[in-house]
Amino acid sequence: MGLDITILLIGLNHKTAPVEIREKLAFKNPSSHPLEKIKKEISSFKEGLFLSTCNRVEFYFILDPDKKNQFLTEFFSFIERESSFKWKDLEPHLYFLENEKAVKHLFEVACGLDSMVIGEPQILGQVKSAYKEALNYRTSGLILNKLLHKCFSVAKKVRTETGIGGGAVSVSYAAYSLAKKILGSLKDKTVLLVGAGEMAELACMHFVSEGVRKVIIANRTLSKAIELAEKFKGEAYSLDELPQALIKADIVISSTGAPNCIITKTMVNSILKPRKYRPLFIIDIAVPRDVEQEVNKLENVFLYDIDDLKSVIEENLKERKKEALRAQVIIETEVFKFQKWLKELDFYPTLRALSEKAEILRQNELSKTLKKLKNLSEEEKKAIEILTKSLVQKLLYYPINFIKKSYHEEGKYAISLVRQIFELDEPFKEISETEIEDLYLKIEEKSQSQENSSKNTDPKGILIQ
Amino acid sequence: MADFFSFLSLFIYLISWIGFGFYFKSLKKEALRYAQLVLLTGFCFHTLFWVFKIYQIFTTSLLSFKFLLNFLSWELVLIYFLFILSPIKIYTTGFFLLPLVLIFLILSYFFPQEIFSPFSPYFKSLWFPLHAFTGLFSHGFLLFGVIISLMYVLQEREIKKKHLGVFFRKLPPLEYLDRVAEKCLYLGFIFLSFAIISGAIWSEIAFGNYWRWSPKEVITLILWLIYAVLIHQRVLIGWRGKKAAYMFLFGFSVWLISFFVINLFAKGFHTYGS
Repeated sequence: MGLDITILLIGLNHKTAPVEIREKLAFKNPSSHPLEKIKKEISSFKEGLFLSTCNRVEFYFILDPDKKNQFLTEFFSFIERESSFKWKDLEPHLYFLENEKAVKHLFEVACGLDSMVIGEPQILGQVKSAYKEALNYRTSGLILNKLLHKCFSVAKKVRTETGIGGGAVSVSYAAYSLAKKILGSLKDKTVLLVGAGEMAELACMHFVSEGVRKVIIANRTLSKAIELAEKFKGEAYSLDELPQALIKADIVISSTGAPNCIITKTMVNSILKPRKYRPLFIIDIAVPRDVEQEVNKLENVFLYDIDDLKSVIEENLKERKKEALRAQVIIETEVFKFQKWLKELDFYPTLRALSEKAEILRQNELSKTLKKLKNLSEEEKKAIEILTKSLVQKLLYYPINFIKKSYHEEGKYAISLVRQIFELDEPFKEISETEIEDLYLKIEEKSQSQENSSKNTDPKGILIQ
Repeated sequence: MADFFSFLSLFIYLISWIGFGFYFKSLKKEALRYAQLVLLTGFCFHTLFWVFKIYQIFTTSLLSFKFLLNFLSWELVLIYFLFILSPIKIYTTGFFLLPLVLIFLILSYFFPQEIFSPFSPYFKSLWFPLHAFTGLFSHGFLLFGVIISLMYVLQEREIKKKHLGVFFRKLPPLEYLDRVAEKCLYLGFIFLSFAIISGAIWSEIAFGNYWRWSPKEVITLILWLIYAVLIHQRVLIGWRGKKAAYMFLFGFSVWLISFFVINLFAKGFHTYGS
């Protein structure tokens, strides 16, 4: 008996579709969630999940394999109705993955392996909220619940066991992490913006949100500097006063449009002593560059221009790609585990495992008893064997019958429960006699004490009567 | 019994170092916690050893050179824990510090018992322990500063060369390293000054003169001057970072000469070689 479900993924991402198509399929209309509509209009699927981020739109469905064709036609017409695309135009941009491949894809997405910036952490949160929506619209069931929980644990595992999220991969974050490594805590540090450009402002925002103490702005036109200074509650200087501003600063972000260098080696050299050689980190994001390359050679001055930062990012991305290979290995094993779980949800393997386990237990106990009773005739031995066999069969009759009867409705829950109760997924472990004795002793004590308390004075009980 | 404790602590430090290695590789907090716990256990045994040993030294009035090394390694672990309690967190230091601790401990086994302190008959004076402990603690802080400076140099080089490799990710920020090195400098200098002063007073009481220009005294004075200059430049001009780190390393080489060469081979007052 094979699996009676299909996990189907229909989706598109930044690699397969341009943004014009992605944005139309993103279903950003806040009044109605696509799952809600799909649930109303299509009945041929069991469970569904809708994941939409700026880089991807993906539908995950759990279906009956027999109903797949019916579902697909219904789904196509639904998409045509919702977006203004013809199905023919859309199809080349879509990918269709089934079962194992769909599971693997979901894991990769959650770990950030499929993201534009590899290993970015936001995607996991987006998958989580997609799952929340599915729970909200009640389109998630046994399979999706297990799949998504597995997916979250895989993502967590990948994040802790590999360096997939390590190293800065944006210019402002790279600058920030460098500043941290040079200056330690940024709480009592001062940032100097040279040039009031938008780029510098953006980079500065990052530092401000991380809690630098003060922002100073030096600009060619003083009025612009004052404007920005008001925004950051800082001080404004003109470019002529740059040396004074440099003395106060710990981090310099330079982004003027000047055609040649405005921070020269002689200028920085002259302020080293008044600064008492405090470390100075200069980030030059202007093109052409604002700061002379030689400045980096000065003591306790660290200069990074935009290319340096980009090569830092490049290195980090390379490192992440290497880590991605390790992540793939983890994902493969987890996909395998999930597949195993799915297969075991099947009816016969569970029954077989259950009766096998019972048989092992029976054989063990039987051989123990037969060792003690040495003077038995063959006939007596046979009688004991039959006794044990029928005892086991009769005890197992109930769970087996329960699974069989309710197989089509909530059967998979029952199977999963039976597997848990009889510990079918764990290696076989001999139960010691003392363990059993302890267990039963406790049960007896509990039931006796309960009996006593119900017999004894129970004022509330009397009052109720 | 006492020797067994020393050997045990050597073994435990080794395990702890492996733990710090795991922490250095993975930066996992658990690895650090276990490594530190193991280190603390080793340190407790080591302390027990020293309780026995100090009692023994004072009853027999014999101090072998090999125990100085042993004491230095004990001190370095103590200083590590002192800095862990301070607000500046520099955890990866353990990975760099423990090799030095282990080397000192292992070296102490190679030195023969017979190299005795020349002052053995004078131990009962109160000035001797004062001189010895302040002297040894000045060594301890300066050695710790050397390790920190080494880490600083490694970290600084990667940032300056814009090649951000292993050390950039694993080592603490430059500023923190610099601040810890600064503290080591001040503490080491204070202890060294006390050692010189208490030594001079003791010398006057026991032998009748304060200072006699023996090799050990001269090189200690040089060491003191190096650190005095370093402090002066730091406070007034602001020498810090790389320059200070290199000065620390220079001071370390002078210390190596003072501790191993002068102590063991030079003839004269205050050396173990005579």
